[in-house]
Amino acid sequence: MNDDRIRKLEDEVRRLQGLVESRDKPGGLAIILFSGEWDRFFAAFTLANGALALDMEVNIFLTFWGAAAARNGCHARGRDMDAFQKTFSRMLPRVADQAPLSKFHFFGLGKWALRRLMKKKGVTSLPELVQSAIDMGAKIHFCDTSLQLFGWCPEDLLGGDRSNWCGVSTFLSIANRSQTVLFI
Amino acid sequence: MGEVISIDARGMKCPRPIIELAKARRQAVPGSQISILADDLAFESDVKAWCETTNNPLVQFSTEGGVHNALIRLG
Repeated sequence: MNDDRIRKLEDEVRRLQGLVESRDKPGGLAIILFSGEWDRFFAAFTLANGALALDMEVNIFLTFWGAAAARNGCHARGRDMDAFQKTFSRMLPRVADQAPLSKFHFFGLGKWALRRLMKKKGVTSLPELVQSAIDMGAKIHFCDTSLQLFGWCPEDLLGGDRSNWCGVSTFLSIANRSQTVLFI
Repeated sequence: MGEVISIDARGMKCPRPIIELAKARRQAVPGSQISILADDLAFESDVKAWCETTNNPLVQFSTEGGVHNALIRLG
């Protein structure tokens, strides 16, 4: 009887400790990355890196054009894709770094000038930001429906892991416990 | 007194200096200190926010000729 009470008290103490620890930890950041443009990817991953540096948990949900632009460089040849999917696969960027700017792109001239300027000024490049975010523990989630729509496989994508594919409800449950939620 | 880790983040732009700081902290033992040099304009406010949020006290901060020098003790 006494042992039982002690065990219950211990459980209660553990629960309270968990609550105190979660209050001390800075709240998480959840980003829904819908856009597939280079500058928006840059903004999202800059914020993700900043949040990770502040010990925040970071979850990025790539959906639609965002998911479409987050390939890992391969061309997905020889896949069982229909004519539309093949056309999308050919026309969409193979890595986010190849994506166009949301404005001032000017057939690539604007992006070329911007990247040159950024390099000159010591601004971290997009591939470095993406790698750094993954290294520091950002969790990347892919919208299952978007990927099925484009006909892409886990090995075509950033991270290359099927377990990162999820639906809206999974991500919203993550977003629900994050203090900051951004739609980019 | 732990070791002092030096980071030269001069020429790096936001958020790179703070990323370097966070990466160094992950490898350091508690009680170590990090000395970081940076010339990014946002660094002063960023490093103060970082110290406050991650509970690592900023021991010293100075600016000379546009270069910030921060000394942080890791809690």
